Amino acid sequence: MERTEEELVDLTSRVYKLVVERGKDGVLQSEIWKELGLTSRDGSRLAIRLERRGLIGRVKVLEEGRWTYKLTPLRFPTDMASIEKAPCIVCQFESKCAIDGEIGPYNCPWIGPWAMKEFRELTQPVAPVTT
Amino acid sequence: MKIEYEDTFVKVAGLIGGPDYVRVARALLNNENATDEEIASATGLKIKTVRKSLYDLFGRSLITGVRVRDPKRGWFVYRWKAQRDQTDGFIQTQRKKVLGRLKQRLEYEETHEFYHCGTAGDPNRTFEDAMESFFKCPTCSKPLNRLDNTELKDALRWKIKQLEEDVSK
Repeated sequence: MERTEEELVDLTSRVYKLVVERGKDGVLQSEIWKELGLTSRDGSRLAIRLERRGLIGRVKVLEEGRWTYKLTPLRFPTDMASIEKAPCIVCQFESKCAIDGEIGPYNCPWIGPWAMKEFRELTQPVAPVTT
Repeated sequence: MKIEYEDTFVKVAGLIGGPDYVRVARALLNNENATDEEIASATGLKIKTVRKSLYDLFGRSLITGVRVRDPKRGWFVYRWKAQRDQTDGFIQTQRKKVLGRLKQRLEYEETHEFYHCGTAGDPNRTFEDAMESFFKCPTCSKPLNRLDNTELKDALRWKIKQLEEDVSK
């Protein structure tokens, strides 16, 4: 069965996640295929895709008399949570932003609300809904 | 669909331009040195959208372009390549830039008193500005009332601390 591009992207991401979670010791690819319910054909394609992108390494190993591949993470995902929704990154006034300019950090209408929204979401847990 | 475990280059592209940029970035990783037409065909995006994202990413030094002659048609085309070693630097630069602005805003909030008319969209006025207009909003003429910015200051301090920790990692 042919998978859609979206499914492939999701599966690639899940394979990468599992490899990263196992750490530098690596993991046998067959273990991952079992966990994700993939055929070895589909799984190998995903692993090759990740290898080509330089995200994981594939090393041929002999395991219980059979040749298989061990997958190890080469790059770890960077945590970008603190700036993920920062308005400055996509701001159309970015080049004009200055303290003494028409628009800047003092009167920016986006930077304050952004900080407030994240502050509320991450520091003040939402009260459980009672019925 | 939110893809949490993704190449940093793709995540950065998504941060800048959303889903279209993500598709272009993924196509660039799957096919190194691709032309705009090849990317458009791989992603199903319009050539105009692909070019816009490529020029934007190029302007931010996240990709490089090499001009080569198309052997079939004879004209020049650009072959684009992701600069993956630039992504961590890009993120760190953005963190520092945002951090600087948050610090400036916090200092401003701490050293001024603010007044507001209650009309959405109207700007906050400093005490000096409010006094000049006799505590009446110059835009909507409603009276200007003192604004409590305690939560904003707390939020700015919290965000500054979070970014400072990330910058020093």
